[in-house]
Amino acid sequence: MLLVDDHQLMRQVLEIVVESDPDLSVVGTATCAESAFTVVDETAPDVVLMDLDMTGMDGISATRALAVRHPLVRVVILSASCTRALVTEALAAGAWGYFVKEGSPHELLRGIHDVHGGQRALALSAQALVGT
Amino acid sequence: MRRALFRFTASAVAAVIVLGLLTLLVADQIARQRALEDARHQVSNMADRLAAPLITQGIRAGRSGASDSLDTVMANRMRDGSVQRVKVWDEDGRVIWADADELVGRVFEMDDDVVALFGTHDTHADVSELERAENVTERAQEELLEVYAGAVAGDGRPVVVEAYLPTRQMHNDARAMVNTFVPLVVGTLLLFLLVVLPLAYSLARRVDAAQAERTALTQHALRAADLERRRIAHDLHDGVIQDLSGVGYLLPTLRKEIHPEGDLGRATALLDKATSVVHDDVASLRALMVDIYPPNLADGGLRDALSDLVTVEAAAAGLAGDVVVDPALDVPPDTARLVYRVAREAVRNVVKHARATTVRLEVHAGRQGGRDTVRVLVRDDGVGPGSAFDRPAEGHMGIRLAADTVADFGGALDVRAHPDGGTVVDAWVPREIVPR
Repeated sequence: MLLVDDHQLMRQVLEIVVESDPDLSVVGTATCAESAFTVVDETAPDVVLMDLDMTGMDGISATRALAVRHPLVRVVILSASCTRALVTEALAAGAWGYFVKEGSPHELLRGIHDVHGGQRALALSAQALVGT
Repeated sequence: MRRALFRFTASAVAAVIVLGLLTLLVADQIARQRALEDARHQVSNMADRLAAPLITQGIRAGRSGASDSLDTVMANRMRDGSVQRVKVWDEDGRVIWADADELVGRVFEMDDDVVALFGTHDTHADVSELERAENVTERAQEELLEVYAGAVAGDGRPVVVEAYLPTRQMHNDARAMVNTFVPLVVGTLLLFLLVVLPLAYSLARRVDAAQAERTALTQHALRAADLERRRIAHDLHDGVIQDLSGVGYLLPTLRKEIHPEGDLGRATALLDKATSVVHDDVASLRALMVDIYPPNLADGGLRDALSDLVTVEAAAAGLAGDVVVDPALDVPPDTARLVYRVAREAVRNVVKHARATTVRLEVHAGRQGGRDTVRVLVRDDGVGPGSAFDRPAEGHMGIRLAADTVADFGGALDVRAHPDGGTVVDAWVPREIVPR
C-alpha cells in the first residue's frame, strides 16, 4: 500500500494501523500528490490510501491522474469531510473507496481489503449519502 | 444626498406656501375686524347725532311731511355712498323711517341681539348675508356690512338705527395688508432658504461622507473577522483535527495489543504517541486561544505579548527572533490590541512568505502631525517584498487588512524593501484611537 497525506502524524498513524493488519503492508508514503506519482511508479502498490484535502493538487485530481497513469492501482480516499458532492466526485474520478478520518480503523481496514478484492467500499456515512 | 436635499427643499417650499396662505387668512381677518369696527363707529355717530334726534312723534304716527327734515339730512349723509341703506326701528319691530319708503310702517321679527340694543348706545355689526325678510331692498347687493346702533329718539323713546355699508373698503384694506405682509413673510422665508440651502448641502455631504466611512469601516471589520475565522478554521483543520483523527485511529490499534498475549512494548509506544499528540494539541489549542485574545494584553502587558508572539512564531519557523519595545511606551488597551494585531500579521507574513533567517520587531512611541503615535517596524532578511503585497489572493490578505485597519484609525502601514535586503513593514497608529 501507498499512504498519501500531507499531515505527518496522520501518515505515521495510518502506517501503524495498516501494518497492524498481517495481510497488509506499506510500501511507501508521500506528502503530496506529485510525490505520490513518483512513489507509485517506483513501488507499484495495489492500493493507494489518498488524503482528500492536501496542499497543491487535491486528492480527487490526484486520483483522476493516477487512474490514467496506473489504471490497475486502486485508490481509496480518506477525508476529514464527507458530503454527497465530494463522495460522488471522488467515485467519478476513479476512486474505489471513500472513508472518513473520524471513522474506525477496523472499518478502514475492511474497506481496504474489499477494494483490494475488487469491490467498491464506502464508509457508512458515505453509503448513506450515495448508496452502496 | 440628492434625496435628502430634495426633501429639505420641498419641505422649505411647502413651509413658504403654508405661511403665505396663513398670512392671507390672517390679513383678511384683521381687515374684516377693522372694517366692522369703523362701521360701528360711523353708524353709532350717525344714529346719535343725525338720525335719532330727528325722530318725532309725527314720524312715529306716519304723518305726512313729518319726516322731511330727516329725509333731507339722511339724503345728504348717504350721498357719498359710504352708507347705502338706513332704517329706524321702534321697540315693536316696526320700521318707523327708512330711505326706501316702501318699508316704512312694516313690522318684522327682530333678532334678540338687536332687541337688546333698545335703551342703550351699543352697536352690533356683521357682514350681512341679506337673507332676512327686511332685506328686500338690499338683495341686489352681493355683500354689505350691517350695523345696528341703539339710540334715543328726539321724543325721548329708544330706537335702533340700522345701516348698511359697502364692503369695498374692507376688501381694499385686506388687499393692502396682504400686499404689505405676504411679500415680507415669503421674502424673509426665501432669503432664509437661500442662506440655509448651502449649509444643508454641506451638511448632507458631510453626512454622506460619514456614512461612506462607516460603511468602509464595517466592511474592513467584516473582512478582518472573516479572515480571522478562516485562519482559525484552517489552523484547526490542519492541526488539532488531524491530530485527534490520528489518535482516533491509534487508540483502537493500541486496544488490540491489550491482552495477555499482546505486544506490551508496542502498546506502550502507541500510548506514548497518543499522549504526546494530546499534549501537543492542548498546547496548540492554548496557543490558538492566546492568539485570538492574548491574555497578557488584557493585563496591559503589550511588551510581553509581543515578545511571546515573536518567540513562538520565530521558533516554529526556525528563525532567529528579536524584539525591541520602547521602555517608555504606555498605550491604552485598544491601541495595544491594534499594535499587537499589526505586529502579528507582519511577523506571520515574514514566517510564511519571506524565506528569511531573522525577524526583528521594534515598537516605539513617536509624534506625527502633532499627535502622540506608536510606530511598529518589522524587518526580515528574506527575499524582499517584490510585488507579492499587491496580490492579496496569494496569501498576503492579513497584512493588507492590517493596513486597511490602521488607515481606518488614522495611521498608515507601508511595506518596502530594505536597502540591505529583506523587507520592512513600517506602520504607525495614533496613541489614542477611537474603538469600534
